[in-house]
Amino acid sequence: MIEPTISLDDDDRVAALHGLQILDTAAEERFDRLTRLAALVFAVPIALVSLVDTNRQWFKACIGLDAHETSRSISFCGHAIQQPDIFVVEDALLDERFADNPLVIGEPFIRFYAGQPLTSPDGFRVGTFCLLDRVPRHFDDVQRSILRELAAQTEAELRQHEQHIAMLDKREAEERLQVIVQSVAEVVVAINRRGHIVFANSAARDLFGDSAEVPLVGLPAAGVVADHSPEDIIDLLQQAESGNASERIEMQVRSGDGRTIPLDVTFAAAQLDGEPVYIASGRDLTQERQARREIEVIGQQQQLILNSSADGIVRLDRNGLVIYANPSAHRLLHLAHGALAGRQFHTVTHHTDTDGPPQPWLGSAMWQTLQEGETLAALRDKFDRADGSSVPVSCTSAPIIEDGAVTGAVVIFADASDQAEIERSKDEFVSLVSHELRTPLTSLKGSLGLLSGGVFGELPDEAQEMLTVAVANTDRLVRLVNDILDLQRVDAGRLQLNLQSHSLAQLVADSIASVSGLFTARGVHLENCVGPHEGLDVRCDGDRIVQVLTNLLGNAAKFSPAASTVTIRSHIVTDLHEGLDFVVIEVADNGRGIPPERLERIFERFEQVDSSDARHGSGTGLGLAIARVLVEMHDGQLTVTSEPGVGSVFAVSLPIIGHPDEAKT
Amino acid sequence: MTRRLLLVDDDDGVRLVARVSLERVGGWIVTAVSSGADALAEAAASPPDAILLDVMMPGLDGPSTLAELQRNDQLAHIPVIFLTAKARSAQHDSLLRLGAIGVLVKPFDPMQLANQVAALLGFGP
Repeated sequence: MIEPTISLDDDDRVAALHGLQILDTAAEERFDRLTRLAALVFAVPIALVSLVDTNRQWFKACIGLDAHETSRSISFCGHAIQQPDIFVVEDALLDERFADNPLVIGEPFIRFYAGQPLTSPDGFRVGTFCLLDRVPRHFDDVQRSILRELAAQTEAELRQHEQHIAMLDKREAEERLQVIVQSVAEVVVAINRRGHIVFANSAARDLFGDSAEVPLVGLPAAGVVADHSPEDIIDLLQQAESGNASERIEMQVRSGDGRTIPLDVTFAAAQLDGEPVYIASGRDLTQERQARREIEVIGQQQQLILNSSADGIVRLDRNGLVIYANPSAHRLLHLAHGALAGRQFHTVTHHTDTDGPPQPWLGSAMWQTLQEGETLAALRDKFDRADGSSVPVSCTSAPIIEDGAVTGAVVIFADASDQAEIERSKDEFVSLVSHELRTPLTSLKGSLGLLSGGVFGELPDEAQEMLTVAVANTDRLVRLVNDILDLQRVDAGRLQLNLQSHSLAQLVADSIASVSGLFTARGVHLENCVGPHEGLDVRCDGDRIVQVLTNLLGNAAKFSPAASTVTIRSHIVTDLHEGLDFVVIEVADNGRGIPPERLERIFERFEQVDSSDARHGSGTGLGLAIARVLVEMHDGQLTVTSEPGVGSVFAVSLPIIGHPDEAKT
Repeated sequence: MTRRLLLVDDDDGVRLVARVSLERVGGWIVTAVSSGADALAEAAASPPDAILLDVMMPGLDGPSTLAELQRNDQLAHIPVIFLTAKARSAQHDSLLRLGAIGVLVKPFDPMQLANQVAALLGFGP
C-alpha cells in the first residue's frame, strides 16, 4: 500500500477547511440529496462528500456506509486531492497503491473509486465528491462530466454554508457592539448631514429624554445644545474627520428635565447604514465639577488653617529636607517666607535641648521619627533663628506613613518663651518663698528649742508639753518646706544627683543616727541586720539615699507599736534581664500594714495610709513620693509589700557598678 | 579662755535666737550685727575668734562680706562659717569653695548650734 502524499501547503489547506466551519456538523439534506442522486445515477452502493482533515477524512454526506470518518493514511480521497481533476481507480486489486489497503481487503471491500476534488472558495482542495463500488468498473467521459457537475453543486453548497456562517458572525458582532454602545456611561448620538439625530444610546435617551410623543431620534441636534447656535453645530460637525475623534469641546446641553448640563464632547465622521453621519460622544461633567469644587474648598480650608496657625508646621521629606513650611514656621525662626523650602530643617534650627547640648542629626527626635516612625514630643527644646538668637520651643515630630512606609515627617513647634518665662518666675517664687519661710522658722524653732531645752529654767509640765507640740510642728513645717522645694526641683527637671562612692554601712548608720531619737521616743527597737555586704560601696548621692532611708525608718517608727522591732537588712540580687547586680535595702516593721488597694497610692503626693495619719503630727504626705523619685533617679526601685495587721516591708534597690566582691576591695 | 564670736544676720529674730543659743548653750561671747558692712567694721575694730555669717542679706551679702574680709590681711585669718537658708549640699559646696570653713543650715537646732560651731572650729564638744 502506498499512503497518500501530503503537500507542503497542507497546513494552509486544513486551515481553509476549518474556515468553512463545517467539520463535525450535523447531516444536511442539501448535501445528502446530492449523494443519493449520485448513487442512483451511477448505480454505485456508496457515494460520499468527504472532507480531508489533518489525520482523517470526515463525511459530510454519506450513502452506503455506517462510518462517519476513516484514517487519512488509508483513504482514497487523500490521493484524489493531490490532483486537480477526477481521480479514478477502476480495480483496486490491480493497483499496487491500494491492493493491500485495509478498505480493499476488508470492509467495505472497495474495488472501484472515482473522486472529483472539492475546491474551497480560496482555492484549496479540501475534499472530494466520490463514488465507491465493490466490483471493478469502467468510468467513461459522460460519467466523469456528471461527477464534475455534482462536485460543482457541492462546492456551491459549501460556499453558501460559509456565507451563512459569516452572516451569523456579523450579526453577533453587531449585537455585541450594540450592547456596548447602549451600556456605556457616555452619551452617544449619531447625527446625519442635515443635523438630525438618527441614533441615540440609552445614556443619551436618559439625559435628553425620549418618549413616544417626543422621540429623541429625529430631533435636530442643535435643539439639545444650549450654548451653541445651529450654525456653530454644523461647523463643528463638518470639521470632524472620518475615523478620528475631534478635540474635546465643552458644551452646555439641555437635559430632558430642563437642567443645563456640562458635557465634554468629541465628534467623529462615520458611515451608518451607508449614510454619512457624525458620531457625537459626550461625558457628563456635573459630578466631576462638583467633586473638584469640593476638593478646592477643602484645599482652601486646609491652606487657611495652615496659614492661620500660630504654631510652626513643617513637612519634611524622607531625608529631613523641608517640603512645606507654613508662615508661622518662618515667622518663629525670623526667616523670609519660603526661605525654608528645600533646606535641612535640623541644620537650620540647630535643634537643641533647652540648657543642653545641640542634638546631632543622627539620633535627634526628627531623625528617630523618620527612621523609626515614632511620634516624639519635647516641651523644652530650642531652635536657632536666622538672626543668631534662639527661641525655646515645644516641638512634636510625627511620621507621614504612606503604604506602610515612612515617607516623611510633620514637625509642629510652638514658641515656648512664655512657658519658659512662667517656669522661671515659678522657680524664683518658690525659691524666695522657701527662704522667706525658713527665716521666720529659724526664729520660731530656735526660740521654742531654747525654751524646751531648759535654757531658761524648768517649766511646768503642761507648758513643757505645749512646747513639745510646738517644736514637733515647727520641725514638720521645716520638712514640708524642704519637701516642697525638692518636688519643685523634680518638676523643673533640676534635681541633680551628686554621685559618689559611699559605703553601704555608713549610709545605713547615718540614716539610723538621724532617726534614733524618734525610735527612742516611741519605744520601738531598731535592729540593723545590714550585711554581710556592709563593706559594699554604692555609687549614689549619699545625702539623697540617707534622706530616703531616713524617711522609710521614720515611717516605720511612727507606725509601729511600742516595744515592737523594726529591722533594716540588705541582700544582693542579680537582674538576669539587664545583667546587673542590685543591692536591696529593706526596712521591715510590725506595724498595722497597708491595705492592698492603697499600696501604690502611698507613693502619690499628699497621700497617707489614712486621714488619721495627719494627726500623728509628723508627716508631710510628700516623703514617699520624693523617696521614690530619688531612688528611680538612681536607676533603682522603691517598692512595698504589706500584710494588714502583720507589717510592711519597704525595699530600696540600687544598682551596683561592678561585682560586690570587687567593690569591697 | 572664753572665745568671741561675731554673728551677722539681717533678721532680728534669728540674731536673737542664735546669740542666746551660742551664749547660753555654748558659752561664747557673742557680738551680733545686722549687715555685712557692720560686720566688717566690727571685725576690724575688735577681731573675733570666728564669724557666723548669713548668706542672703541686703546690701553686702555673705559671700561679698567674706571676700572683703579675705582682702584685709588683718582679718583674712578669721574662720568664717556660713549660715544659710538654702538646704542643698551643692550650694554648700560652692560656699565652701569661697573659703568658709563650714556651712550650717537654717533652721538650726538651738541646742546643737554651739556644738556644731565648735566642731567646725575643731574645739571639740
